[in-house]
Amino acid sequence: MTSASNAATFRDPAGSLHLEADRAVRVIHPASRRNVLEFIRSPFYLRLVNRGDAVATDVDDSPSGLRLLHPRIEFPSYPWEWTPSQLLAAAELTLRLQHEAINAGWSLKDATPLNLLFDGPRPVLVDILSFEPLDPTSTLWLAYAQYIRTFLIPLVLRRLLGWPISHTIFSRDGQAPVDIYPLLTWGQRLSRDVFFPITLPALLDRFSRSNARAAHAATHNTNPEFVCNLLHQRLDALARRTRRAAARASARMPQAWAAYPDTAGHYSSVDLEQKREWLRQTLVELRPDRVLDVGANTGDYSLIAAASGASVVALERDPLTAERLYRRTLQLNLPIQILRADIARPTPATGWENTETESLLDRLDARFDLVLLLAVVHHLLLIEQVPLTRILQLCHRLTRSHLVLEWVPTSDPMYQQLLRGRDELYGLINEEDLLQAAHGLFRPLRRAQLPNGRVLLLLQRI
Amino acid sequence: MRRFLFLLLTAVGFAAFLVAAERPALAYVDPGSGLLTLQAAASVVAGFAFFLRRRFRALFGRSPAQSPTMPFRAKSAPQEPQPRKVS
Repeated sequence: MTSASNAATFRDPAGSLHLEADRAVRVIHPASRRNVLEFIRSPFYLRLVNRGDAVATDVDDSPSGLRLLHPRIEFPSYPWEWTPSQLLAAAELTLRLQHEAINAGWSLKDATPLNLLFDGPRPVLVDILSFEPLDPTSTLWLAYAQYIRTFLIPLVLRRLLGWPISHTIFSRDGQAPVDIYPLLTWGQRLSRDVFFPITLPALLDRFSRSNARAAHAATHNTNPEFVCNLLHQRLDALARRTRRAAARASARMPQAWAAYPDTAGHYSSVDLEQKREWLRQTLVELRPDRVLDVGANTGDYSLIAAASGASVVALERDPLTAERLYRRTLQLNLPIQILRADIARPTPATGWENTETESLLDRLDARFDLVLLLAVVHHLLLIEQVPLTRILQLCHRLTRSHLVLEWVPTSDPMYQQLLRGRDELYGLINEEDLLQAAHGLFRPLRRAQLPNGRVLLLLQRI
Repeated sequence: MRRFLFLLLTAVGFAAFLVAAERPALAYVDPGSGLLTLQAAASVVAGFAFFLRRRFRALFGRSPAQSPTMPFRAKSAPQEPQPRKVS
């Protein structure tokens, strides 16, 4: 967990943040002290905390300075690991908070998905320094452009160009309209979903580079009622555009695994029921607090784990499957955190000196009582060409206690499909080899063979 | 004619006031020059509509106090939320 204590943010002029083992600590810069205290004590903020929309805060006001102490969100995830619906949920919360903030005399000074984290299926605002007193005479929302760059344009690009949300990892502050404009055809530029957030700003950008100051002249108005109404109108328009961009996005999604549960002919209902029952019993016995489901697919086993009382982190590589799984968990409101991530190519650390966001493995490291690796090993072995010993070593790193592993034998049709003539290399690997690779890392506790030949193994970490 | 002149002078005065009121934005994040201009332009359009509506109402003899002053409806203002216990 060394990198966890290194992770920090420092760009905000109001204060900096660092993470400790069980809390997040914000050090407030003296110049912002008054505003921050006023905000923390405002009925508006208390309302957000009570509703679960913002993270709670303890104030530590010592002579050395003001510090805010927040509980850690169980598992931090970043926008590039979210599904479109997660990005939309975060966007809608941001706009809702800004609406409410305006009515309460506050305003968000920044509007980026990095200000929010997911607590199960719900987004939560964690960067509470984002609020500043509202200037009742300005019709500008200065974070407007950042909202468009970081929330709206990624959703629009996904729909128009098929860019996955994971591409947002390549830019800290989103996509500027002027950078996206040349990539679009004239038909796209003139479509109503693109014209206002991309085309018009890109064209205005040429004109306004030298006149940016003049643009401010028109934004001063002494009628607060007019200002508030204009700001609310602008937020409404943004919300409509964002919802439209997210709603139409699914048409262009790659669908590698979407049909998997329907076509999983290698599983009969008896096999499936037996597998579920075995897992249920194992969960009842082990009572894990935290479960990691690698390759969650439709999330059936994450749901079983969540139903047993565990909080679950579910990794799914396929965007559409992850999206479906998120919608499912949102509907059921279960403590399952969906990450569109690939364990074979884990999300890297990013930012200044690679310390602003943590890598996926640093976040996963030894955080789980039980790791589920159900029908994943043969993918890692055959597609990613990772040796069994390395797979087991990674599992040893992730789990604190137990590992459930589904072994797919070489005779299995899915194994054969992935083998593709590489029989000499992978055709003779068997369960013995797996147990040999686990030697010194895990102790086998239980084994069950399903009628279709697949094997479920419960292993204990040594 | 006098009313028209008055209207014109007020419009010029309003525009002059807007320019005189120029001040730098104190943004912490990049406010994006194109999008900033777009916001400013939208504000001008809305502000002008607001101004014109008041003047026109005045022209037809209705005092501003009796007429709705806003060209917009604050439909987006959320309802007072119900506090919820966090489980």
